[in-house]
Amino acid sequence: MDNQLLRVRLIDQMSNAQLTAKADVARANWTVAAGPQILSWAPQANDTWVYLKRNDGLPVPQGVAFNCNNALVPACSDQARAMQIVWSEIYVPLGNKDHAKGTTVFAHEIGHALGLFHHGNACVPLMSAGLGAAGCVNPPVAPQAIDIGGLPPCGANVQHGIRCIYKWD
Amino acid sequence: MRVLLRLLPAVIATGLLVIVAVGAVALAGSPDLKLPLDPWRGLSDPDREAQVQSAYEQQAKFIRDFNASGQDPRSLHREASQSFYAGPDSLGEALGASDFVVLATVRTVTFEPIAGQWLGQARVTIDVLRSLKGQAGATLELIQPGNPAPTADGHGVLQELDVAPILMPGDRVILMLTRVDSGALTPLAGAGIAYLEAGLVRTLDRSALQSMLSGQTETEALELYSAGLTGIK
Repeated sequence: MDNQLLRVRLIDQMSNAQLTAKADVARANWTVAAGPQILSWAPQANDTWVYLKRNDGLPVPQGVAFNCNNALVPACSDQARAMQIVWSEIYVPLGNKDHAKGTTVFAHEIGHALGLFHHGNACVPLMSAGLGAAGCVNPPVAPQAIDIGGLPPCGANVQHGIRCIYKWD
Repeated sequence: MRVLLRLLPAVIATGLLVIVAVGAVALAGSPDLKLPLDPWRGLSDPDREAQVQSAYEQQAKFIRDFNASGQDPRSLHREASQSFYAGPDSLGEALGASDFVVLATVRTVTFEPIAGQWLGQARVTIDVLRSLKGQAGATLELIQPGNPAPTADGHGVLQELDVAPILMPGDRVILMLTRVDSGALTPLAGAGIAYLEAGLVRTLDRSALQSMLSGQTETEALELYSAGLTGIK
């Protein structure tokens, strides 16, 4: 994007104020972090959409994100689609509203919706695959240095954080 | 030497041309995955919503057609979506978190779309061969997130979650089941499914119980589950 802002509209379809409050903390944390992303509940010019949906068939505190583009088949997938995402869908169960990792789940899944993959298995990066582990008692609720990533260009030895994949310096 | 000096500007100019040309070719050949900044530019919100709904409808039609065709879901390529989950770290923890623990075979699997969502679900009926925890009847019905989804080649793909792959007809499994917010039963994420293949246990790669259970015989594994249940009583 070469220093163009990435404007994201969150669309709340969860019908639960406690879930919304947790999602809002994640939204604010991503917005103040370095990078092109500005996340808002209100419409913004030229925005892309991230739906927040309830799926009560998921065990607590599970969460999953799909990135969608109906020019592609299948339209939605969790595969690498940075720069190809038209809209995203994040699913969480109702019980996440009371779970200690509920905010982390939103922040982590928003990272996927922005185009980030998992990196690292420790408890430190927001995009670690290991945040759900019982030993990870205080997982992050905001992007960390590795999630922000190095300045572009994204070389082989540079972490591919949000700045890197969107060419934001 | 004079000849060389006279030719030097031409050599330099030719060199610069080559550098520019190589650069241009490199740029032209670099991948450009970017869509326009706003791929929905010019569309109203209702137009955008219509596109989302269109994707859901295509997905729902594919699921209904798949069910009607009677096609074996095993014939689909499986695409596991990575999900955030908090799996139990020990067998005791997993057993404690389970409402039912059963040895079972899978009888049927059907799929259904969920209105207003891309992600559908599988409805799985199992025959209970042995009940280790919970008052299970002869059959139980489970729900699992996932569904067949269309692909460009028309073959379709089975979209499922990495920590809870959809059970298939004929699977022989030891299941640890938990009741989710919808009231349905579903396998515990990560550790809830232990496949019995040629008499030996195979767990999921992301199961914390892999080193403990994988490779055990069915009898050995059931003894481990029973001992674990005795421990938490």
